[in-house]
Amino acid sequence: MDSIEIEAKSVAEAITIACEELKTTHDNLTIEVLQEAPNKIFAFMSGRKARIRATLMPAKAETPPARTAAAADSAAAATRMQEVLETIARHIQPGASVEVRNNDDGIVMNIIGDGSGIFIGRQGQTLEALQYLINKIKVRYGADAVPVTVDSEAYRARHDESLANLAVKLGMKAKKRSGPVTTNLLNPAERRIIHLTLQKDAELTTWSKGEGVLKKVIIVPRQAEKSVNR
Amino acid sequence: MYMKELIREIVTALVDNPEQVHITEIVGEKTAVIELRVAQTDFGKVIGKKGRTAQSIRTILSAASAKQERRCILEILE
Repeated sequence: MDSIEIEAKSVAEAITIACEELKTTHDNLTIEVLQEAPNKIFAFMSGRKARIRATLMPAKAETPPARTAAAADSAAAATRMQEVLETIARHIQPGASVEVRNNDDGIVMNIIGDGSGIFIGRQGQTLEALQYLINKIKVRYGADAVPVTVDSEAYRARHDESLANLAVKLGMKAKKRSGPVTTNLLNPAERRIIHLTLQKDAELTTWSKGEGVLKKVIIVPRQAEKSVNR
Repeated sequence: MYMKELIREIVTALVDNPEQVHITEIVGEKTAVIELRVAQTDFGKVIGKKGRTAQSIRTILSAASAKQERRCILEILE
C-alpha cells in the first residue's frame, strides 16, 4: 500500500500535491493530518508548514492510471537522486533523511536533520554546494531539465524573505540619496529576488554588474539613471 | 575512513568511469588529506567550470568533518 508524507503551506495544498504524487484523485486517498499550518502571519516567521500523510486506498490502487514511459523514467531518476542525496546527507550526519516534493519551480529535496543547521552552513554555502552537485548528478541520470532545489529547515523561505526585505530597504536608500546603491555579491537566484521585488517600483531600476556566477545588483532611481556609469 | 566513503559517493555519481575512481586517505595528527584520482577524461568533471564542482565537494567535506577532530583536505591529482 502506497503511503507518502507531504509538507506544504496549507493542508489543502498538501492534498493537491499528494494527488499529483500518487497520480490519483482525492477520493482514492485517506488523508491523515500530522500537523496543521499556523496562520499566515506566523507561517513566515516560524517556517512551519502543514504535514499530512496520504495513503492510497488498496481497493482502487490496482488500477493505477497508465504512466507514460517518460514519466516513469523521470520518477526513477528522481528516486535515484534522492538516494544519492540521502547517502551524502547521512555521511554528514547519521540519521538524516530526504523528502521530495514538487512545486511550481521544479523538485524540492528537503534534508531533515537534527535542526543544527549543519546542512545549511555559513550563509547557506553547504546547501548551495549540495544543490549544485545534485543538479550536476541529475544531468548524468538524464532526468528532466527541471531544476532541483535543496532545502533544509525551511532555509530557502527564510532567506528569500530576508532578501526581499533587503531589496526594499536598499530601494528606499537609493531614493533618499538619489543615487546608486549596490548589494553584496549574490548568486543568480538571489539576484532574481532583488530584481523581481523592485520591478514593481516604477521609480527604481536595477541591473547586475560583475563577472562570473556571483554579481552585484545596482539599484538606481530612474531620474538618476543617466548619470550612472553601467 | 568515513570521509573517504563520502567522497566516493559523490565522485562516482559525477564521473563516466566510476571504476577508475581511486581514493586514498593520509591521516595526520590534526588533518586528513584525501587524495582523489579519476580517469583522465573525467578530470574536468570533478573540477568543474572555474573549479566550482571541486569547491562544492570541499564545502561538503568541511561540513562533514566539522564534528570530527580532524580537518579534511581534498587533493585532486592528475
